[in-house]
Amino acid sequence: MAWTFGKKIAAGFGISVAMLVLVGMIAYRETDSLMENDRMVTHTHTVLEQLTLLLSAMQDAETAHRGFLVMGEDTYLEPYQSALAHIGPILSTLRGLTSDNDRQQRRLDQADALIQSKLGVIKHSIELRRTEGMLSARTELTEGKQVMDDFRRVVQAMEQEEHDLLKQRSSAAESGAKAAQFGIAAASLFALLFVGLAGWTITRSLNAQLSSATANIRSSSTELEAAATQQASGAREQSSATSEVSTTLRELLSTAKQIAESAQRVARIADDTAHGARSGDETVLRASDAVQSIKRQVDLIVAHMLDLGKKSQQVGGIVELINELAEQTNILAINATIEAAGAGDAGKRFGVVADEIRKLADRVAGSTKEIRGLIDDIRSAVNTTVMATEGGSKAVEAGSKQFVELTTSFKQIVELVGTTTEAAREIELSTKQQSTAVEQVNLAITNVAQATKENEASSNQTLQTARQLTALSRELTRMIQTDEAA
Amino acid sequence: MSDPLLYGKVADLRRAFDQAFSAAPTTADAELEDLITVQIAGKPHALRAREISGLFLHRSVLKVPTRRSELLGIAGIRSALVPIYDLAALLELGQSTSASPWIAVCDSLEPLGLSFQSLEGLLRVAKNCVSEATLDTASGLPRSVLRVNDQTYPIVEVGLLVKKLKGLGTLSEPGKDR
Repeated sequence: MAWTFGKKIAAGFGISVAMLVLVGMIAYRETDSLMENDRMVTHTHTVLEQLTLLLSAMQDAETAHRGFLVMGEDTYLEPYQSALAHIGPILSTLRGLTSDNDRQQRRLDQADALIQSKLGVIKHSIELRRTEGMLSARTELTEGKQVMDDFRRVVQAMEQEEHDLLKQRSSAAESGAKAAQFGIAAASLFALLFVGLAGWTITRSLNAQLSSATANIRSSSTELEAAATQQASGAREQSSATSEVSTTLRELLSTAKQIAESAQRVARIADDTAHGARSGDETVLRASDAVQSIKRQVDLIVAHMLDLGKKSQQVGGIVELINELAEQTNILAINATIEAAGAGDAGKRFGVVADEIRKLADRVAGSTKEIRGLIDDIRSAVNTTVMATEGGSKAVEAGSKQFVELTTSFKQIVELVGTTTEAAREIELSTKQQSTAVEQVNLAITNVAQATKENEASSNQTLQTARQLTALSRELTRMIQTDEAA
Repeated sequence: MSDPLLYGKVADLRRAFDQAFSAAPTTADAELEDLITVQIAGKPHALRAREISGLFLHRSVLKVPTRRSELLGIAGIRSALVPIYDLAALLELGQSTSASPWIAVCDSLEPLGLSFQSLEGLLRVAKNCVSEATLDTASGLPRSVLRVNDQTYPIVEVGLLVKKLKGLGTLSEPGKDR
């Protein structure tokens, strides 16, 4: 069972107190016994003293009786009178003192009877002396002497009883004193041994515990020292960090103010944008109507261009016919030239005509070739135009659809710009609240920095205390080890 | 006519046409020669106009049984049956692979048709544009060359070719091949 220091010390004190109480109780009991013996001895002496007084009173009464009988004067009766006054209280006292002793009570009854008899004889004798003279009174002396002797024997027996009791109590007192002396000495020795054993055990246990505790204290103080060093370092780093945080918070505050201003500008711009978007919506509607008109015109252009393509095809057919005629004319002219050449000089004039016809046919062929090229260009251009126009028509149609989507988009833009305005105002409000919060945080960080500095000082103090604690534990260990060595 | 270029062209044509009929025949015309430029097997050649009696296009040629690969068949031209020969084959330029719609008819007495690929035109050139004839070792025929406008046209000696064909005795009696 692991007891604490307090318990162990309390147990040691408890054992010591218990031993003291035991010794005290033994001493008290023995002293009480001695005091009882002493009281009983005193009681016995009181009984003896009262018996002596009683005997003395009776002797005084007898002496006074005899003196009165001899002298006949009342002055000799004063001791008798005094004895009469004392005998009753003495008897009463003796009865009280010997109430615990039946034998003495019976003897006291006998003595009382004898006293009454003696006093009756004396009284009768005194009466006789006064009335009849000395001789008549002398007869009473004999009877009185016998009573007095009996009384003395009774008193003597009582005194002997008391002396026996006195002797017995003295012996008891002596043996009680010896027993008390032995008991106190034995209890003191036992208490001394027990307290010494308990003290040795507690001291040993405390030393072990103190050694372990001081070792733990030394270890803990070393750890505390390391922790305090680390804490001081951490506090310095925290102080540096709080400074950086404070700087950052100031920058954040500045940025938050800029954001609030920007949010105000955004709100204004969003208002302008909403106005512009509403205006744009109307413009888009007008543009959509214009696009529909363009679409109709483009469809008309496509129709005309297709008609133009057909016409150009017809022109191409006519040109082909002309070309065919030109070719045939050319062949004819060449054959005419051949014929003219075969006719010799007679055919020269005809040859000129044939040559001109051939040239004309060549030119017509060249022209038809050019026309065919032009018609091909026209057809290609028409096709390209038709395709482009159809593409334009499709683009216009797509544009018309996109205008519808654009109108929807503009409406959405108006709504979104409204939302943006609200959001910008909320941002502005939030940013102001954020600025206030940042200021509060900055204040808190300043307090934290102050607390960190105090913490650093406290850590240094803790470090110093830990070092002192280490030194103290070493000193305590040295003291304990020295005590153990001693 | 709003196009001034075209208008000028028309005016030039009219002027040239009128001038051709207004001017007197020049003596220099005797030094001129008419040559028909053609494409034979994709190569330019020239035929003398005076050796040709006529040109015809797209005449249907009826194939006839023959051992001569250059004889394409017979065609009706100017109410006469005319044998048609592949000019490219005769000139040993290889058998014509593409269509040869043109036919040049020679020798009006015993007409003979020569088929060729295409007609380029008729050139009236000075006779000095035609080089002196040299003997072609491959065909054994004299060969002249027309040089005009940086272009060279070998001249097909149609007369000699016709004589050579007739010398073989295959022209007058095409039925003998059967």
